[in-house]
Amino acid sequence: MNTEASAAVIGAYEHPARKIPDGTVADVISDVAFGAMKDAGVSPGEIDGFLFAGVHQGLSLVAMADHLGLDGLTHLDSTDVGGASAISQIGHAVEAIEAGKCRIALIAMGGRPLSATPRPPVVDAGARYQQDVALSQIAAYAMVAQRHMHEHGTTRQQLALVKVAASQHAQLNPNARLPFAVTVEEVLESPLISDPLRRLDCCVTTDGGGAIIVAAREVVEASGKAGAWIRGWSETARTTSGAHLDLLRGGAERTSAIAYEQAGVTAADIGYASIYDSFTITVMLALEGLGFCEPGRAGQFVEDGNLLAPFGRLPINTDGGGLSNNHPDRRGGMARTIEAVRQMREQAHADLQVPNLEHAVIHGTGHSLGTIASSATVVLGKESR
Amino acid sequence: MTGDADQGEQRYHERFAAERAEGRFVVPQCSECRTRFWHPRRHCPKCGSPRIDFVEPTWPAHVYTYTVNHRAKKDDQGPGATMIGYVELDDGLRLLTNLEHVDEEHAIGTAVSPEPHITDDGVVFVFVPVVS
Repeated sequence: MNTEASAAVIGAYEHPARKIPDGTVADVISDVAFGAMKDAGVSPGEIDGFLFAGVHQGLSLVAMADHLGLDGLTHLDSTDVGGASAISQIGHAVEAIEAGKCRIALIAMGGRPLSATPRPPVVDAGARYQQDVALSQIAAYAMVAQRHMHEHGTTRQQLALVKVAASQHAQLNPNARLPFAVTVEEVLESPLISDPLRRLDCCVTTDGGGAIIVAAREVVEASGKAGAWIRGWSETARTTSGAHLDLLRGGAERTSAIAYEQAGVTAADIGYASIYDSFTITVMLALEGLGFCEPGRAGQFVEDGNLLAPFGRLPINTDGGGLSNNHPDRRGGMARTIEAVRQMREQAHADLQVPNLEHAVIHGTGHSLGTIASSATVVLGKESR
Repeated sequence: MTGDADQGEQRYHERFAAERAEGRFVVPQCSECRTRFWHPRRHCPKCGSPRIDFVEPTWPAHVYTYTVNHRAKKDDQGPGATMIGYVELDDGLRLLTNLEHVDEEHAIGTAVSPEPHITDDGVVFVFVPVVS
């Protein structure tokens, strides 16, 4: 299709802390929301679209709008698809802008899982029928990894190399929760949590949050902050299909096809990817679903060094990702989005900035690839078409 | 709407629980389009019919994937290392369940069938290797 993009990200802000012992979740969200507004050069009164998923934290969108002083809202969206929520919300913001419902949209999130009281688990719909199975989030992804290893010969070393790549990038990020490089051996010697996933195959848990401002074309052009045009997007729910599920398809194959077509690109045009990395296996499935390698070949793709910035075939997560940098509120969608925006604006770390970057992809995986999953893909472009 | 369908709609969970309590591992099957599915629910996810039967699959099933969860509960408060996995039925249905006595080195593909265990929480099914 390659239609002209109608909106771009003109502001972004990430909370610099990874542990926030004092204050409230609303304070964190306030910090990042005003940070993004400042970056974009807009005030609360100019925000007319607000996208926020906080019900799982006991924070309603309306209460948060009140807290932030958003008095001019004409579009509300509290879409919650788990960790991928912020990425889904980007598409929704553009749709609202195109429909004329708003011009300047704020997407914000934040949380303090290290410091706040844990929230009760959600047990609903089908989950009540699995309560006798000791299923943790890690165990669910471990089953995906086992199947990938069995079907495609993927090795534990190849899984570990996803973490190694993230850590190579994180060592240049002083804010990262784990700002140092690790070796394959260190990953393979870290404690076994749920076979084959070890502690270093798992993302960090951090406090923090982030926010972005998505604005309509005329606002973007007036702001002088072009560079992260939203060219394509798509979202889906990868259900269990009544138990006829394929654990090795996470939904990216569907969402990327739609997002790429809308953007007028193919995987070969993408120079950088922010990929939700709750676990090392999460990245492998996304690489295949996004078309960067054939299904089943992600292990080799990783082993070939393609993920390393700035000169790999597909540098990913140059902030260190969820595996080494941050995973605020146990949701990586916003954090990964913000690094993609930095790359598009040439504001990534100088040693990791991808040269001549034209297109980036952001891909989120929410809920659990081992059971029910959400998937959201966004394509950013340097130019509006 | 017929009385039968109404009954099915209202009582599917109770009928399912009664089968389990008798030690029978059953899966829902649509009595109209014959689709089998998991988990139990009010309407067939294929055709929407509220006429749901419960049928006992043909055993054995085969292990599709697995993990040994070394931290089965938060903060190591759980029962220690626990094996869970998806087992695939002969019609392709993949069910998440508990596994026991399955050889970790060659787990995937192992022929297994369910064994009812009576616990304080009622009947829990564990899939164990079929002795050939």
